[in-house]
Amino acid sequence: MSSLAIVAPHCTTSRLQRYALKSPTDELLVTRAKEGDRNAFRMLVVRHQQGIARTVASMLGPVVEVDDVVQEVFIRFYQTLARFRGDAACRTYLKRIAINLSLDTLRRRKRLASRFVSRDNESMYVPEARDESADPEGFDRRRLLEQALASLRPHHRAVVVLRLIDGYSTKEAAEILGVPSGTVLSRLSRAVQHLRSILGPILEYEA
Amino acid sequence: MKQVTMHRLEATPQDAALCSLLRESAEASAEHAMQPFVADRVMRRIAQLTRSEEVFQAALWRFFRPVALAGFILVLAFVGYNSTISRTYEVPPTTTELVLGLQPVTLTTAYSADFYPILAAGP
Repeated sequence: MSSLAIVAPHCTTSRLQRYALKSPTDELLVTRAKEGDRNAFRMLVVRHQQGIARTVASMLGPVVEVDDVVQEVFIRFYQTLARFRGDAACRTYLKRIAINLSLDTLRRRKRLASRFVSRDNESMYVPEARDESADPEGFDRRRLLEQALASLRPHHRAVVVLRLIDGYSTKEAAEILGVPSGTVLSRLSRAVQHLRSILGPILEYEA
Repeated sequence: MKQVTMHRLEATPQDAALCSLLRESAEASAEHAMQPFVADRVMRRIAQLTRSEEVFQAALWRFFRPVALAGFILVLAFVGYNSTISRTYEVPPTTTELVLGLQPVTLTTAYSADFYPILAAGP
């Protein structure tokens, strides 16, 4: 049994989450996971699940698919663990998988929409039912934000998610998306312009 | 979350508000869309995946041995048959010809009209 398994033998998620957030490093956990330590991999999942969920939810909107895609991200990571050499940070590698899977899902959704949804109804974005009684004003604002994000082209949305939400630099975003930095900047500029045009009054109020 | 250091963006209060609203919205969307116990469900799926891979490997190994044995016996039978046939050839065959059951061809036989049964049969 590895040292990690001794320190955290089949902990509950909350205990494991607390432990995973403290230490050890991602590199160490990846090495242990490669050696077959399931607890180490589990800790990686616990550590990164929130960040990945945020990225996927920003890409797809608050829909049921998000949960499946997040799971798929970690399963893909597990399957490619042997090939992961650690050139990029674990977080960056996971983000790349998350963005690619989200783009695949959006492509599938678009194909489905072109087949089944009327051409008059351009947006396929259908928000899930939520309890709005607690904060009706916040609910409307969030809904408008989600719709504004959903109206962006998928590749522009990916840039917005990586740069503005996840806080990656232009160079890092370019590496994750596999495009030149100039492309990231031009997409970001266009996307921000579009968002400003939709969210103008809210932004002025918030500012 | 990483501190966002943006070139030109966030220079104005509107840009800062946009970033902050987007992050807030992302958090809310993720919280709404995700079911609890993600790590448990991921680990369960990985365990199933590994189990199915193990089952596939075991099945492959179980079928490989009898198929390999049958194949080996078949090859031996062909070689035996070919070597028996080769005794009837006029010119002694090489090992390759013997194993593969090829008829040895010399230049004389190749140029002889009798070598080609169609030509030998005539019009």
